[in-house]
Amino acid sequence: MKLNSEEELIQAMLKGDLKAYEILIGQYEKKIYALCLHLLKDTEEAYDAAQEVCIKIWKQIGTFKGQAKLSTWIYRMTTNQCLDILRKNKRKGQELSLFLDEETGEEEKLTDQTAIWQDVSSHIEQKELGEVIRQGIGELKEDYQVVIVLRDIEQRSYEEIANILEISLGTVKSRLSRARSALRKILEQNKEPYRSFFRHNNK
Amino acid sequence: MKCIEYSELISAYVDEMLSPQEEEKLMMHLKTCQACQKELEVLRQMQMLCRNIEEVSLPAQFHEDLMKQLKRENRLKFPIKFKWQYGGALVATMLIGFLFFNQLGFISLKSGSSTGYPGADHIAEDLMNIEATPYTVQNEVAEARVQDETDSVVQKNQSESRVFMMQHAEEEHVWKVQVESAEVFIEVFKDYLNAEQIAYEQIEEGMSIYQVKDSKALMNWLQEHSHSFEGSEVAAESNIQLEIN
Repeated sequence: MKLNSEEELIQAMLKGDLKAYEILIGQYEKKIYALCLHLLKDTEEAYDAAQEVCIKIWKQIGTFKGQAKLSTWIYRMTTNQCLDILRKNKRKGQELSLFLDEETGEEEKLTDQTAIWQDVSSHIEQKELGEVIRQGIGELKEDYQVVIVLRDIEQRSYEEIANILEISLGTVKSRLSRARSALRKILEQNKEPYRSFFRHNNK
Repeated sequence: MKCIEYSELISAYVDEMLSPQEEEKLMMHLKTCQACQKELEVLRQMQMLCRNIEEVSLPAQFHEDLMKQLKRENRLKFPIKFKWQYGGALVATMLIGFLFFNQLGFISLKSGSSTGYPGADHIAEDLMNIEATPYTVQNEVAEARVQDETDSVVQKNQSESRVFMMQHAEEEHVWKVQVESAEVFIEVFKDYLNAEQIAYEQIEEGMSIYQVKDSKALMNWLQEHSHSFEGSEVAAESNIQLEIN
């Protein structure tokens, strides 16, 4: 019994074929986990969330209509799972969301725009920079986090993002633009860790 | 920032999502606006930083944990119980039939013939294809031993067991295994269960539950080993009759 296409695997899964599921999920596990980790930041939470998403895929495959791509459906489930957790965490007061809307006052940022961004392509600092920007993304509100992660980390197209989040293309454009604006403000704050990385005035 | 109207264009431009007209409009503006030139540069750098974030690797245990969890859930949902009856005075004839029943009652499906249960053939076919299929059978060995072996007792046992099964009826499939010697069967069957690492437990006297996920393999095994269950007398009925169309 050679099952190749996703459609065949799904058909088998609908009949309760766990082996077909195993093949299918093997192709998506890493992406699911990565997305969870980028949104939730905590490895344990990401692990649990990703496991739950995978289990939901098995249990709810019957609801996959087939009009969208399977990957879109899976990304959507993953995103929604993570958004639920982020919102729940926020209610518990765990999340520090500095920019609840884009209209915030600017104190000392952007005083010296030209000096703020040093050459960030230095190879040595790549890993730390990655960590810093991840922290910055983590300070955004959830909706902004999701679009930045999907676009700039997971590199989904605008169209895919629109399908995953079930919003219009125009909304993707504007939300992404505002998210990037907000991220820039975060990275240019005069506090650690951002200060060390982005506010060097020499060179 | 006065150039807020160009923010969105710059952002879309970084992703190459501008129409030719929009791009032209932006280029014109950038010629004279340093702030927006800076914005473009910053967005590009931010994007590059994001793209350079270390790739996430899947934790080693992830897949295993996942499959374990799902198999556990599947197993719990579909227990298989075995039942066997004695057909005469201390002699049991071997027969495997299938009882399909739901809350409405039950029908028996032997030798490939259905007795009017809608979709019985379909169920039989699915039985072969689905891995995790529920079964319910009872073990009446203890019960049969205690009482005198008469046909009436057997009948009583049969009806009792049927009642019992009906009490637990859902959409379940039943395997009824009549064996020559219950002891021999238990011995051989337990070996099989241990070899396959299938969990089983004695819930109460007369009932055993085995949790099997691969019904087809079990069926094959029963057929292949039917000779092990035979007593010294090999009657016609002591062969396993297993016909599913």
